[in-house]
Amino acid sequence: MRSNRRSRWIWVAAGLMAASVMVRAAEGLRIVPIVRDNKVLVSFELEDAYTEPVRDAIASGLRTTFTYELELRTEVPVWLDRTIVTATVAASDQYDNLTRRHTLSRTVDGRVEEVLVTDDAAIVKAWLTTWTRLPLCDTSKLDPTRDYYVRISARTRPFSESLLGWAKSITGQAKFTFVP
Amino acid sequence: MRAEAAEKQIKPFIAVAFAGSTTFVDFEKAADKPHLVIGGSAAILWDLFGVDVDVAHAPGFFQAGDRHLVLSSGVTTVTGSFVLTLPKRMTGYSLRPYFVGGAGVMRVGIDDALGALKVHESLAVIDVGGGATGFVNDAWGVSWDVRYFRSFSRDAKGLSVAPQPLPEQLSFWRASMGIVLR
Repeated sequence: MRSNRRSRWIWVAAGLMAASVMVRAAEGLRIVPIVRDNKVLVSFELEDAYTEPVRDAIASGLRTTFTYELELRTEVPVWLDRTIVTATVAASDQYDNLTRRHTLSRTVDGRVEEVLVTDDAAIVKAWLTTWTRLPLCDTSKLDPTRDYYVRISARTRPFSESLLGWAKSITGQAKFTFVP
Repeated sequence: MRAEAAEKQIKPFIAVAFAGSTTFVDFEKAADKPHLVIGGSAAILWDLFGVDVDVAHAPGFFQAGDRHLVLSSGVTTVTGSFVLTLPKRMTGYSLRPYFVGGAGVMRVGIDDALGALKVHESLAVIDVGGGATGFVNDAWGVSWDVRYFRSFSRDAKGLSVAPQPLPEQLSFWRASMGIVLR
């Protein structure tokens, strides 16, 4: 009887944790795709990701990287959704304990796009977690009046915040219709 | 969907031949059993029509595997077919169905253990069928295809099983699944 009650509690706890992971996946990433100047631009923010453990890791001098994998896809009836374009972007922070300055860098598909040195923690947080109007592709790759969605998976290094080591990345998506 | 030129496809596939029927001497009663088929095809598709060349081989077509009355056997088909398909603007990125019909050559080989009724014949064959192709990305996809092959009747050579020799004939269905490259 006691073992039944214990196993029931274990299942309830596991269910709560799984639900927690799903809620984080759904709510953790805010994604806004727009079409402007014949390009698909994506803005996104990884909310609540700049946590105490992340700040501790940065303060220890470990190079900390937030990597985002973006996919522009379209829903296909009776078949697999088609991936139109993919991109991998990353934002890194290397903190220097002696100068107390953060060296921030951003890469798009492996190319370094931007480097910034700052001692402002607010800038560090925005640098790591927020991207604004990232060009994903030309609209020439899109079909008129078709529904598309942008899916983004985010993960951190040197560690991923997770429950029981499961959700190594947080994934979110946002739909839009391309009307030229 | 943007207008595109003719689409060229290469399809290596594996298949199962089944429901075979023949007037050849079928020592092991194996022709109507399922048999593995390997093959490939190449196609050029325009908006609505296309052409398709298909080559396939079914080793051991007249062998059941446990009787050893036939030492080796096989059926090879080479066919050219017309393809009727849906325009890409209608199917988009989804599965694109098609129908095929054509003709070609079927090579039948049977080497029986006694060496008395060896068969090495080439027969004219017709094929009809259809399938669907779905692409995962711009480079490759997956295709499913079902075709019926039937040889033309021709003069009897005494190799068929009947009181009066019948024209040699072989027919079977083939269901395949393959990778499509374009």
